[in-house]
Amino acid sequence: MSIPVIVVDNAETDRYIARRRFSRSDGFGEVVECQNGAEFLNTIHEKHNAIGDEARNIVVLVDINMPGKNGFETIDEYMKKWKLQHADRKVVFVMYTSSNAVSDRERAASMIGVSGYVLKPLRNQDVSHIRALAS
Amino acid sequence: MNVRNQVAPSATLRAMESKQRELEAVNLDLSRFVYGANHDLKAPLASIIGLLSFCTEDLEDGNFGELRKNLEQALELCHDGVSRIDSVFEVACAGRDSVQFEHVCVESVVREVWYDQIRECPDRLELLLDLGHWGPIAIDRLTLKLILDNLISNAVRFRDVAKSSLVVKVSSEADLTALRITVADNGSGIPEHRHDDVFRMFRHIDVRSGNGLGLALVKRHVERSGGRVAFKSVAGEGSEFTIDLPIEPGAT
Repeated sequence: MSIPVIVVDNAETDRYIARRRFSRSDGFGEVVECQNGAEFLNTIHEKHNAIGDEARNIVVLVDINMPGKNGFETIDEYMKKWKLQHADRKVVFVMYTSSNAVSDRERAASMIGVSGYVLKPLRNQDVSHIRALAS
Repeated sequence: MNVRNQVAPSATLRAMESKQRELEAVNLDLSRFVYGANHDLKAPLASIIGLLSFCTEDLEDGNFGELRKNLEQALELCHDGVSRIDSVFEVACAGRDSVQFEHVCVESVVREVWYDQIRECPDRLELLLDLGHWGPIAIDRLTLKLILDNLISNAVRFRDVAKSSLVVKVSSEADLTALRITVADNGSGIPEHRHDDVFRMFRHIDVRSGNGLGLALVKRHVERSGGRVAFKSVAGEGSEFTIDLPIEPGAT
């Protein structure tokens, strides 16, 4: 049983870093990449049951500063639109950002659905932390 | 109590209130700048740290193909970071140099910028020129070039390939004091809720946006020379930017 991961980030390098860290860590499965919030919302809607192990929670790493919808707006929209329809499967959101701004940390802490806040670049200890959040 | 004592405080109060509003606006600008600069300059460094830590792993594992790829990617991000810092510095310094008027042939600047910008564009774009004035005109050449570089580059990047013809129209008119340049396109336009972001630094409308500094730079340069910038845009229909650039007094 492995935990599926979705990385939502416009920066290709940061998606690669996450994909490589998770693929070499125990307990994680498929890593799906989305380049922006809109792509994530489509992906999660269309194939939320097809991603990874159906019995497991999905971990979603979300960048904050992205062109178009930012990370917070993306999560807001997911919670409003899809949360109830996907009630059978828990989505664990983790902010994945280079911003250490207090305003961003506070906003993340106040949002329902957001379980963690990880500063880039993603390190092995962050991956352990995320594993604990998703279990 | 005499009349002067009653009038003076309220006038002073109004002046103080207006000064306070001005300061608040400057403060808001500054905190947005700090946030944007912090993110846009730090993000590539964080990615580079991530890549380099993989490189040391790959070196130990003898995984040289991946090592090379990641080093090259890190190098590219370094170059990107340097050019971002240069751009931020350029915006911050815009307005320090004095305006240099010279006689400029607007049409040749437009054509030069146009061919430069469409060279790598795969789609067929049409340039419509409608210049409503004759001969060279005494303006700040570098500011004109900067304006056209940015506006035409945006028009090209935000083209709407779903449309049967892709058109960028550059028009101009001049009176004794100013040259008005309009760059209009039938591209994808800017949604209304993003209009406030257009001239702000570090705002990216979508993935086609550049470094989020171009139009901020245009605005600063135009305003320091005493000109004005404005735009109209409807999502799905296109955008139209209008710039008024002062002409050298007494030159015409």
